[in-house]
Amino acid sequence: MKQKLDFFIIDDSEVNNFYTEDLLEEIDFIGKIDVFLDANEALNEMIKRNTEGIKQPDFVLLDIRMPEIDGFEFIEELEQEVDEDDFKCKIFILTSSKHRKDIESFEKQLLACEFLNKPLNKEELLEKIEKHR
Amino acid sequence: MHKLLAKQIKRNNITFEEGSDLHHFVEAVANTYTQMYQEQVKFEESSNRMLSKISHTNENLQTIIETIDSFNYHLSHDLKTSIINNISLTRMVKKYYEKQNQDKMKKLIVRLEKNSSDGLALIEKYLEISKFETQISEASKENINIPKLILKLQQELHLDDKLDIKVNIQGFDSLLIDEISIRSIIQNFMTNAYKYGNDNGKTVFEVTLSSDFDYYYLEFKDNGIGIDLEKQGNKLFKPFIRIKQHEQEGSGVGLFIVKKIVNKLGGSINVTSKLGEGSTFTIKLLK
Repeated sequence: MKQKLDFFIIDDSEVNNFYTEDLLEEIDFIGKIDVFLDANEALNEMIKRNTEGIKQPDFVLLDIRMPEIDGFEFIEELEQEVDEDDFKCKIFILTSSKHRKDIESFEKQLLACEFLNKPLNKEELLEKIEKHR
Repeated sequence: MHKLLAKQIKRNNITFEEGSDLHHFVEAVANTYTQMYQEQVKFEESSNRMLSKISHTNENLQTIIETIDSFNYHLSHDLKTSIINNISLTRMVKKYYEKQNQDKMKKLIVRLEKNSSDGLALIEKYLEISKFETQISEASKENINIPKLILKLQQELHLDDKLDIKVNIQGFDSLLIDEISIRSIIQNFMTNAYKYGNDNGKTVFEVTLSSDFDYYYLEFKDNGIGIDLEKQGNKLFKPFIRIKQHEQEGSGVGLFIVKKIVNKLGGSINVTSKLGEGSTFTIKLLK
């Protein structure tokens, strides 16, 4: 049996997290799900795991528009901390935005590999997980 | 210039005929020349003034465009989020209906209703902002006593026992201003001081009114949680962005509105702050 996949959900929208977590729980090969309303908290956790050599989540679902730091600032800060070649965690942007500026920012950065729109669609998610696992 | 001078000389009927006074003629030509030179200087001055006016107007327009852009971005984002949340919750209702989980469905329907009311409140918030803009452009100026207004607002906002307010009068206590503008300014700083107040004890909110030869200064100081200006400074006056995730309610438009009002009054706003020690906002208005 394949090892279960761990997820982080990072979004200040409580309803989105509620929905997304419920959707992930249905998928049998998904293991631990950690939900962060505060992006800074998630960032600190990932930096801590990086320095202490603890396993990162396999996938991160990251919102863009959040207070304090937005999704792209999150990625920028993480990029400074981690070694890209060793960083196995896959980041999916999960946003309601289809705005040109956000898509351009997504294309410019390197850590996030998919740009998904809300509400998360189960079939689409499964397909992207298959593509990147 | 020579051709123009010749034309002007002709127009002024300055002629030189044999036998007439050369001195007079030279003086008349010189006068004409000076006059033309002065006119040209005046023209250059006025066109420079005009240019700087145009560039000022351009800057203002640029700000307006950016504001509208950002307003639209946030409006569409927020509306979309609200509707997406409704879709998400509805999908969950559908799922738990199929699973015949009554309990879960009931909870979801409660959330669905709450989410819809939040969406309505959101639309009203946006309408309020645009209404507010028409209000200030129509409001008339009157003499407002600032310390009195501060006391009144403290009572109206039920902050009597929550904020320790001090007013220092060091130059003026009344301003000729429209009431909606000055009310919004004070109310915003006052509620921010409370919302982002001192965690260990009562927040002190200190207003200092001072002036010099050209300007009035309104200083609003608190000893609250403060702002990391290095990180957040550029976001501070942008609309719909909340610097601190906080349990307190907020729409993220307060300081944006204050800045808009101050701009409209032709003034400027300045902030100094230190995390954990508090913030000081200073508004400078031309006398």
